[in-house]
Amino acid sequence: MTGTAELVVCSGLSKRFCRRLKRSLWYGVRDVGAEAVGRRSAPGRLRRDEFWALDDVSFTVRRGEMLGLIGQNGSGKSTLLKMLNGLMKPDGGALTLRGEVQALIELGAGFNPILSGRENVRINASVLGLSKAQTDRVMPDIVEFAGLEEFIDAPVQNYSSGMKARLGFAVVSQLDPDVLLIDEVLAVGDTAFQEKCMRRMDALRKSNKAVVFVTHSLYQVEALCDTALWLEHGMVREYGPAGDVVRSYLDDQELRAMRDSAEEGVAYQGRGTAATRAFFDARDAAGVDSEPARARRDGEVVTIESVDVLSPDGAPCQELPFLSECTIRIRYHCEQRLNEPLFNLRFLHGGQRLFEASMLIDGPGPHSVEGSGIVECHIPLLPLTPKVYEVELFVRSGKGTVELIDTRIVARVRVTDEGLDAVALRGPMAINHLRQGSPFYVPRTWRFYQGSELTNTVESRYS
Amino acid sequence: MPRDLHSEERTYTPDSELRHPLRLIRGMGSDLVAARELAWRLFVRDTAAQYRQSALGYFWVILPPLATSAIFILLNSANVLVSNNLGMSYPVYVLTGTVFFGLFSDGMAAPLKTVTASRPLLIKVRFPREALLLTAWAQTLLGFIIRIALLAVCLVLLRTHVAPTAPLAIIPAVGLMLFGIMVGVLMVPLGALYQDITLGLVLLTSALMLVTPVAFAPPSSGVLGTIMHYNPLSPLVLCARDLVVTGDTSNLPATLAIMGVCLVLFVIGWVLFRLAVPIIVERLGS
Repeated sequence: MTGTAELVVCSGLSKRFCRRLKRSLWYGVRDVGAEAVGRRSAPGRLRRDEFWALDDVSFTVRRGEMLGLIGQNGSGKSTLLKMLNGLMKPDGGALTLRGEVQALIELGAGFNPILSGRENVRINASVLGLSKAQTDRVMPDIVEFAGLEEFIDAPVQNYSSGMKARLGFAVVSQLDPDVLLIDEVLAVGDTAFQEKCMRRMDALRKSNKAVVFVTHSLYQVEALCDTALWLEHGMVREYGPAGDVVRSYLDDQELRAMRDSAEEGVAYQGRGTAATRAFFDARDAAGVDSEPARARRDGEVVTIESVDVLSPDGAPCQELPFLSECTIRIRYHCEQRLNEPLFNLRFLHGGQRLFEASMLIDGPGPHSVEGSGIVECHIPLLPLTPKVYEVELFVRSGKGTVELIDTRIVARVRVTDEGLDAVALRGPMAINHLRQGSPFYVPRTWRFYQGSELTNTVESRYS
Repeated sequence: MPRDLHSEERTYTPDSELRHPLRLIRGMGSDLVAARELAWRLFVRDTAAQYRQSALGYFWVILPPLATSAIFILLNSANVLVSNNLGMSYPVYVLTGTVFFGLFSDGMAAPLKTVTASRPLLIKVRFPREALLLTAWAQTLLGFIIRIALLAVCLVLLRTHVAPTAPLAIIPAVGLMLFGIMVGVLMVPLGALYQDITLGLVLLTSALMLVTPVAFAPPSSGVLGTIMHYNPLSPLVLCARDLVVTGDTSNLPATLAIMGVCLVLFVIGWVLFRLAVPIIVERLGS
């Protein structure tokens, strides 16, 4: 029965904070006063300068389950952790915790600088509820875990911040509670120490505790957590299986990045035909003014009217499913007859060139074009992992020597993780690695041999 | 040993803890027991840290009362103060006064001092908050032992006749500590939020010393005389001094009555302290 016991039950939890210090202190005095007469201070509403740091947050964590808390800075993650730790009272809702709760937080800040590492460990261990005998027993382990054998009797003020953090973590790592709260501790120390922490985390995951884990590393959430809670402005944006929440969170980050770069005026104009035209008109006008000689060389002039990315069903779009076909449609206009124009598309990610679909390689098209026309480039299978990509266009003359337009980004396309089911996602960090790792996806098979005998085959499964 | 999970179930709601007085009292009791060892550690930490970075070290514990006494003795020798009919020599009067009053002023400052010293832990770790109160008591007791030893040495040096009732002075001495800590605990909710309280504490201590029979006998008339008469600290200081030097026990009943009131107020302060800590943590942030 205890195997599935709900150790943390959070229902409709809310917390308000005040933006101004003076007013916050005054509210504090009033809240103490209200507490002292057994009442609630201004229940369920905001007072002046207040905002909801947490707003109607609900979730449960069972024994043996690990919950990842993700969200931007200031989204309420740490506030929630503090409330789980019983440091603050809710302003709404209820929070029930069963069993012993311990927070694995960065304790280095609580060290007294004048006292030695060993004295500070004794104090911290005592604060965390270890008896003197228990502390004496685990002291060698703590010192060893922190890797501070030589410095343990030196004053903590001579420690580096990394040493302090390591010692702080070493103390809490000795605890054995039912509910464990972890706040971003793995971000401290060198690689070897982080490795140690990861091993410890993995051991905790398998030890049938309820764990709540705050982190900015989506890799860790995917690799370690069963469920994830995504907080945004104190509200639950999504709560569910870790992989699903990580996917949505990455989606959101990509869309946000696309929106931001569009606002910054990075030449993303693949959005709508009218906007595209206006943009290119302006660009071309500027180009013609500044470099008339080149643009009008040989009497060849080509105007790009619009560029659209077409989805598999032929509709203009900004998003494509993973491993789908892709068509890029370019509408152009030539005032005069244009001989053997060579169109070139280049795919980029974060400014890095990935591949080109180039008529400089594929060969010449029609002998000549004139007036308005369309050229489409069809790619039967786009081998790109879910990310945002830019598409650059340049057009060369028949011999390839003259640039007919300035090289420019004409479209931005986001490969989504729709269709991710087509590939095997059995690895521990599959989603994150696919989405945040390298841009290309190629099919592969792993074969393991014992002597000459094939023992294992791992297929990326991709059709 | 398998633990009974349900015995450790905790529910946090916006309701005041006062709505469940039984649970509150049980929590206070169990936290007090759980806090003993931690309180000792915090006490050792604060004491060690307080004097480790000073050349004179623990001498600082006895220096302030000696200095205060010296100043008043100097003032008295210049006939600035009116101090007739003391029933003892002036140096003995002022030394006993400052030592016993010091128990009160130490006690008054201690709770806020321990809360401030433990602030980084307070806002990060949930530990039995009673540890801070116990630490405040331990610090005041340490001061008490050192001051009493100092007083004993001085009385011997001054060749003072000590009354046989002297051991009974422990009662008003404990009363003075209780009085001080009670005031200090009641100030914590406000003092942890507003630094004004810490800053004002020095002023308050000096002012209280002047309206308590520390360095001169209470005038029989005038505003100061009236204040001193109604000052609840006066009987405690007078009682302690009389028990040590003259053996007069006339202030003992008043002392016991005041101690009883202080004890009740201390428990109220303790409850208030428990209720206030989560709010303090929330307002002081990270």
